[in-house]
Amino acid sequence: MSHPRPVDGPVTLRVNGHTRTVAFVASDAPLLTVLRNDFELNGPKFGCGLGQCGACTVIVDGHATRACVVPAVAATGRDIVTLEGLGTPEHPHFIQRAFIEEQAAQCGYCLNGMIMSTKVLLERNPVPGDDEIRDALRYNLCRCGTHIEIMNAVRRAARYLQQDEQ
Amino acid sequence: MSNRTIDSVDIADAPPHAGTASAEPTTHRARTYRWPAGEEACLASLEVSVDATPSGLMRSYRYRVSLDGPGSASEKGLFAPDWRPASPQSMLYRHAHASLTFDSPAPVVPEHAHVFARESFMDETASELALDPVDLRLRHLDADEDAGAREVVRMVTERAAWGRKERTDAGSQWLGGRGFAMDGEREGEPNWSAWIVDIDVHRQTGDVAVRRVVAGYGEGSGSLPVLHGVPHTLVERAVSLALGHASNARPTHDEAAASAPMSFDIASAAGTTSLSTQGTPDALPTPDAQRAAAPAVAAIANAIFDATGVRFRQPPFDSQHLRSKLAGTEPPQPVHHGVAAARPGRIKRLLAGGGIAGVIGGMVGLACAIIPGPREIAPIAPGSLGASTWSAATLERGRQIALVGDCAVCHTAPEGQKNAGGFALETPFGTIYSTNITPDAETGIGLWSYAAFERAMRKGIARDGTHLYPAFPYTAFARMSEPDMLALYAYLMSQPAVKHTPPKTSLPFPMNLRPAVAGWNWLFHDDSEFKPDASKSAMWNRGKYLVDGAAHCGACHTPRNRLGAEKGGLAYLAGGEAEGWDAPALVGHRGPVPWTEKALFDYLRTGFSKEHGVAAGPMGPVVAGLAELPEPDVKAIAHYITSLSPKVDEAAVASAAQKQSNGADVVSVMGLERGRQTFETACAVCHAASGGVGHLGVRPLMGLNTSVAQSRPDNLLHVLHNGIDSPATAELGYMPRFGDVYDDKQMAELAAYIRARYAPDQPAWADLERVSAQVREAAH
Repeated sequence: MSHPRPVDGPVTLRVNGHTRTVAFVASDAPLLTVLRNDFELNGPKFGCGLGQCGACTVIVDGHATRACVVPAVAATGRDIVTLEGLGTPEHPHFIQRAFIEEQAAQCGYCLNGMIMSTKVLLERNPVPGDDEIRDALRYNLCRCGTHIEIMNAVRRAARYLQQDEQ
Repeated sequence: MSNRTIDSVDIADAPPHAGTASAEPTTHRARTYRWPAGEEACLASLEVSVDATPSGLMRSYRYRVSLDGPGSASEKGLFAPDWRPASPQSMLYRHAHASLTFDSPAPVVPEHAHVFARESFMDETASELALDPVDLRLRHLDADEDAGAREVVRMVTERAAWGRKERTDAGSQWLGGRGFAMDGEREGEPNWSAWIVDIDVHRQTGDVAVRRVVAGYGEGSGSLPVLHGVPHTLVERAVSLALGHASNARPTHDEAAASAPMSFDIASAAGTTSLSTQGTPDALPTPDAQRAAAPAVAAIANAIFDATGVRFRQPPFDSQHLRSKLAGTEPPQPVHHGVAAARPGRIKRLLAGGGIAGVIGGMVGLACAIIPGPREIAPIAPGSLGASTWSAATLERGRQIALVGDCAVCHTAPEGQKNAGGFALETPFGTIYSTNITPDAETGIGLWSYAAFERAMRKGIARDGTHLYPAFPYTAFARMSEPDMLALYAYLMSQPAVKHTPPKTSLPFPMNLRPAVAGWNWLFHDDSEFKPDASKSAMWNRGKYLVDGAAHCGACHTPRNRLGAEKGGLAYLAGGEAEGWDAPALVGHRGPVPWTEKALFDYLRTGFSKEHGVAAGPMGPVVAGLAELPEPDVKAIAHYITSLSPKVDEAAVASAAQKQSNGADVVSVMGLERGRQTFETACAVCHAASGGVGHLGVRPLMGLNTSVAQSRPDNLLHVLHNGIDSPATAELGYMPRFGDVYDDKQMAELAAYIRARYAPDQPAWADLERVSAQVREAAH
């Protein structure tokens, strides 16, 4: 077969602008496991492990990607951005700032996915309406019920984006 | 020229048939050939004459060489008294009486000139006597003393499939021809070389394209000949010396349109090599190489004659000259040597309807009565072939054929080494394990000659004479053209050898009787090559050639009868089965949205069509291969397959796709609430029209997915259970497997919902839980 089946072995990934090689990765190891265990980036969370809850969302080549269902080898040669790539506690990204200011977290487990999905949304649509926000975050599950606050946070982030541009 | 000598010598041995043919009358034949030699504008005259019987026995052989420079023409005379013997190289064949005379500035006339004259003359004589040119030569080589030479000729002609007439394309602007020439020496180490050149000549322009060269040289005696391939660099160089100008060919159905023409890159060689240097010792690297390349020019001249009836007796063979000659010439009626007779009509339709046991019994009987058991084909010396045997263009062509044919898909075991065999193919008759097709001498095809390989590919008979099961699609490969077949052989034989013995195939009675396959072949197998349809476009023919031949699309997409043979007629590409997957029909418009040529091309090239879905299952590796082919080939396949269905209107397709993408409204899926919930949780993030911020990879919508609208749920359930962990191309993205997450009841609910919601015009699938259980079972 010409398209190589993934094989066990070293994998080189470019995460948040840094390139690193992990000496051994099983061919079917999800990207999430490698990011959390080897890159020690715990922003993306392990939720359902089935690509359904969205807690593991990272951005790969500009696409929101559920890191628990994509093999790490599939991300080779692509640009991976995790929550850690957005901002720091001292200098949070404007979306992170909006989520903090709206106190959008209760347990906070879903917030990685909410924030990463918001980033992709705002890149695609800088002035989303409420329906568009709901649609974009529809498959990011939150069990605590902070949906109102999350909506507020996304609206606020969109405002920040507008102000930055002005 | 004052320094001429003559020395006529008799160097012949006893002729092979002198005693038996002495009563036949002889006729005298003479020809003069010319070769640029020495100083500028100087020509060597090479005169050959024989006395030959009508049956092709050349009793006497006279040869003389003179320099024919400007102003020296008047001094030239036949057998003037001041000649001396030519080098023995000008003498190769055994005649009752032979004399060689040689003009004095001997070093000026290169060895190649002698070979050109002798081999052209042999070809002319053979043509006039309506004899096979190879056969004529063999008659003048001793069965014992020249056994090495005969063996080299045998091996080269076998590899080039000499005697099989290449395509005769009446409507084509190109005339095809094939020529043979050889050379050798008996002094010192026996050393023989033989060339077979296939060329095309354009009827109007006179352009000559060298299509293929099969050249080999051998050392040693008759008892243990070893054939070496002539290095392709040498071939290219020798060809460029002969033609002295650039040439090209338009691709035919067995050539990729995007790649360079299969002729050698003569243009670049011609830029650096002029005719005046061709005879000098540094034109070819070593004496061995010179010997190996010596027959090139004559072989090309003979091929041009075979194609056009125009005889060149002096190189270079320029197209201008050819064009003017062609203008008033009818193409000759070439003598067909050993061309297979048309197959007699068969009675397969009468028998195909019979009961399985009865027909098998009948088949065994027929096989014994009519078809003698195939013989073993002698092994070749292990390791005698390698990558250096063939030109880079041939190997690349072979690589592409291997991709089109997906050899590695079936001949590679999971986790196994490429082409080393052991892949288990489930058939209705039992499990068949694929064989090792790496050039390993013990466990692979390392001992297979080209003849053995070709027989296996076209007739399904292994080198040792045993029948291969038709799970190996030789039924399709038989359509492949001869150059493609050879290129594939070249490619496979130049790959790394892997020592690996795959599991033995053991089918239950009566399928374990391999000779019964002979009867099967007799009933169902047509081993004729592809014939282009002159009324159709080149692209169409190219597409059909690939689809019916190397790509063997019908192996999966054509339904099979109870004996496992592809059905013909209306069933052609009407949908079949592969490894438990439903292979959809390629004709008619059975999906929710008709296929356009563009959609089919996208699907074949990238593995995804927005209106039809993703290539998965056994189609995944097929797309992975197609993704690497020249784009025009994939376009041709799409073009041909689309032509089999009624023409579709692009606008209608777009509106159908639009309508279909959203699926039915909610009312029609009432009662499927649990399936809907599962879909919303597990699938919708990627597969709903409004699916959140999306996901890496393509997003096939269920309403536009062929597997949802198919009559059987198998393909959809395969994907639901196993996901897509090895997408055909990297851009498609991955799908997780849900087989471990949902039980068969949940799977059935999910599939039922998807069907009702996204294929509302189709009847609900029955028995989903059972099929889900089967699919689950098959995955383990």
